[in-house]
Amino acid sequence: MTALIMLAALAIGLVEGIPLGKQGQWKELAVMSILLGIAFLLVMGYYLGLPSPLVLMERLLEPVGKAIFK
Amino acid sequence: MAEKGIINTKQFVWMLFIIITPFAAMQIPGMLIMQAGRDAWLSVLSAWFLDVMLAIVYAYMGLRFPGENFVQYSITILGKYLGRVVGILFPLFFLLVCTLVLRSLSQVVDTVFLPLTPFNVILVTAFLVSALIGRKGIEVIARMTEILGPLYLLSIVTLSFLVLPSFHIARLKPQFDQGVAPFLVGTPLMLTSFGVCIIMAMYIPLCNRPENGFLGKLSAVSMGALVVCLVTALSVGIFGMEDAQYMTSPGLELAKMINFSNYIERVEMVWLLILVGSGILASSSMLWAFGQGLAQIVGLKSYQSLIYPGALISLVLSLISFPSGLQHTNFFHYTFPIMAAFVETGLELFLLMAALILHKRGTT
Repeated sequence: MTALIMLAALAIGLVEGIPLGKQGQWKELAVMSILLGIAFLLVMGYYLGLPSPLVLMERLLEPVGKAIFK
Repeated sequence: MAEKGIINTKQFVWMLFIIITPFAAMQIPGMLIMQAGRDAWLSVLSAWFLDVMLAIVYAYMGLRFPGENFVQYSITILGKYLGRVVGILFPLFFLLVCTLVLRSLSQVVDTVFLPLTPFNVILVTAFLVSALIGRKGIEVIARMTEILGPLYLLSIVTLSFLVLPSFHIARLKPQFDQGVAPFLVGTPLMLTSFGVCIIMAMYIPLCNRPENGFLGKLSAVSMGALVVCLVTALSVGIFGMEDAQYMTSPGLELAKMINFSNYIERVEMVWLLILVGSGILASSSMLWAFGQGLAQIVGLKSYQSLIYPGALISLVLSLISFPSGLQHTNFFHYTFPIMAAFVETGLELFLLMAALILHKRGTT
């Protein structure tokens, strides 16, 4: 799955990035690259055993939820 | 380019209705029955009422800041820096909803309809289609919902009539047999699902008649509440609350029951169409709102290039955050309502108070 995610990130980078570069939309290109970088870091973090942001949220908020709901 | 699409009031209503539908078609009725038991349908009604009250706030803010969505008026009210910090929470919330909806949808499809297909194939396909639609812009989403919304509503109401012969009203009685606490706890659970319709604040600036925002939301959430109420009440009335609360999708189980002398059967396929169609359209709206909101926060000229990366992050999150269906259901049950209540109610009321205290208004 990791390889597939990397491939998808690369494909998105090429499909979206090349037209943005040609049009000189550097800010759009930078934000798009950051988002792809976040996706990459999330996958890497998972393989390094780091919890995902949603797991962190769950650890923080689940006790509150369990106190309210059955 | 920035979103130039314009939607009319009818499209606005169906877009919001389509966002509520997947919640009715998936796990929410079961969770609600687990919380509120026989009073689940009453929790739907009270959640509907509270959501309408909340819609007044969103509609008022839409009129106070004409042409601005909540991401933009966060910046107008709180300034360049704090406004961006608060404003970015809305697009992130939409990305989270997209993650949860597509994960739920894929889980139901995998468990019930395509058990031999790898789960990841279903999930990736759902994300791909949602991203493709989201990238086409709001007008494409609006036209699709305008066609599919009425069909879904009609299908659900027809399915409800078809299962009516098995319905036993005695199973819904007595009301409040365990006091009002279960009913009161069920209400916020349902409210946070209806509350995803805060996306209306992203639509109002693009609506050809923004003053109809409240009426549009009222119509949409009323139809949505009718659907959830029907599924919930029928599930309890037919299966009993003891069984209905543990069902992955009570609506699907209702559809499976329909069989008229081997003439009308396998009607659950209609439910599958509703589930997949509404789930994907709702997620594409969420991805669109994420892209649009983020582009406005950062000050980009176009949002389209952010849709695919947003969908990829959402896909990664749904893969790495929930190793099993149970963990996902737990997140939906215990964590999502708290986060949703904070964003849907807390943030908007905070913005309203800040706007009133600081005497901020839109300029156009």
